[in-house]
Amino acid sequence: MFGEHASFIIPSYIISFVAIVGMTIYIIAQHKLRKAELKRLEESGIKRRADNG
Amino acid sequence: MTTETIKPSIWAFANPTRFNTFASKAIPVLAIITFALLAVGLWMSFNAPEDYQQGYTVLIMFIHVPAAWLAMMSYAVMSASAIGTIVWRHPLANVSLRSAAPLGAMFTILALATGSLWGKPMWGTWWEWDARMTSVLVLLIIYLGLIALSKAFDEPSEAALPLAVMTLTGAPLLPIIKFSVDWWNTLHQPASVSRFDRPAMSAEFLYPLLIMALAYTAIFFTLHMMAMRNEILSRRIRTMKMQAARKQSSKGAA
Amino acid sequence: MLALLKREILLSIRAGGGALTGVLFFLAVVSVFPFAVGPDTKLLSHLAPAILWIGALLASLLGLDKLFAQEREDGSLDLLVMQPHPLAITIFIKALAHWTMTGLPLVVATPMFGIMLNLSPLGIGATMITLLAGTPAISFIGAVGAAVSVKLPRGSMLISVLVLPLVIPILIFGVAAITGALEDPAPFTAPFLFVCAITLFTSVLGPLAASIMLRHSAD
Repeated sequence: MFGEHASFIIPSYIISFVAIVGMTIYIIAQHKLRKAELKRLEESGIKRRADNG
Repeated sequence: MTTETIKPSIWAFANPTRFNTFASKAIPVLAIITFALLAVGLWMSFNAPEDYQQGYTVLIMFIHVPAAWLAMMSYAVMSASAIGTIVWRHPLANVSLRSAAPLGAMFTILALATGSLWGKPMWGTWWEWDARMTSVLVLLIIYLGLIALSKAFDEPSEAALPLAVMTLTGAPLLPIIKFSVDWWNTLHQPASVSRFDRPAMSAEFLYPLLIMALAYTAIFFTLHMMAMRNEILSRRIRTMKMQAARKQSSKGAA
Repeated sequence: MLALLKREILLSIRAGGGALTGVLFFLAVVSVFPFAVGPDTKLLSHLAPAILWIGALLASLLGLDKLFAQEREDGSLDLLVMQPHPLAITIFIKALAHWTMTGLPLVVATPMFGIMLNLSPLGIGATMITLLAGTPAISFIGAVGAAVSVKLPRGSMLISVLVLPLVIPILIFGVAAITGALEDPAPFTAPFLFVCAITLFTSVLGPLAASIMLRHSAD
């Protein structure tokens, strides 16, 4: 498949795929982590709005 | 309404909470558009006929050229955000700038990597210090420098203006780099580049390329919005932690 | 204005013989090249313009982190910002003083290094003129980098990383102009005028950008 240059075509697709999917997974993981952290903080009684106290 | 009392002057202009609600609705839509475009683009790419000159390596073009375009577009988005930071001190502009930098660096690396993999079978070399490759490499260095700068400050809001000023300082130099290296190149090795700009591209290659470019653009905007949402969340966590620490210390004093 | 320039230059002389250290660094960079490339005089004279320009580039980066550091430490940064005349002019003078201490000595020292690298008299002249026209731009762009990282305790590495890619066009046109002077078909005037244009542009935009930055970090 893809002729004599398959060893160049396939890696370039793999690299692009890995980079973009990897970046997406990283961003989603960060989102999950931060959501969890936010929840933890809110449960421990820290309010988002400062009550000037 | 202000979500934070620490920096009301800055945070009053925009509403990160409203952005996050909007982002939560927009991201799934954007993701679906991205997947659709990618599916169509890839299908069209792999069904494109073999190029009589380049053979199957033309397949690399469909992911190389969009990556290179996005590498430039990310910088355009960052420059627009930088103007937003300097002129209006809009906090979302800084969030946008910060979030776009790693994406821009990623697309630049992809453009370089796929270009290298395309260059080896076509020109017989992995790397050539020609106009475009050199200017894109410089672009990568600028991206990485900006990322380093954004990480160098303890307080994210302090990095806002330095980042914006540095981004804009780099912006007018990008076309200069591009043209000057082009020009410099004509002195030393004129031939090889012209093959890159093939005159008129036939429709069977042009359409898949355009769809792939749109798909990459959609990828960028989806990831950018997700990264912006993360950045806002992490700032919220930061202020909450600081408030908690403050409360604790005032309790300890009393 | 002149008083400020004088003061800046005097300060940097007192702070450890600025000009001499710069030239010394230049000498060190230039003399490292023959070790790496080999003592082939033909090759060296071919590479000489590039070696001299790279040496000047690196030497000009020296001391950029000190441009506003002292003001920040003793608190006179706020005074600078609150001066009656525009801050950009003060920064222009400071960048000019930086250039007088780093760039100008290199221009003066170029003939000596040129002879060491077997460069022809014409090449030496071209190198001197392009360095004279081009190195101020490095100081002006560097002022932006210095202003941006003024709040960072260890900003000097970062300044180099940020400033180096931005000065590449100057390097390209500078070396191209020297090549133009030495080799017949290549033009000298066009790239040389580009170098001048970049320096003029950055002499306005650099201090302006740096002043926006400093005003922000002062309040």
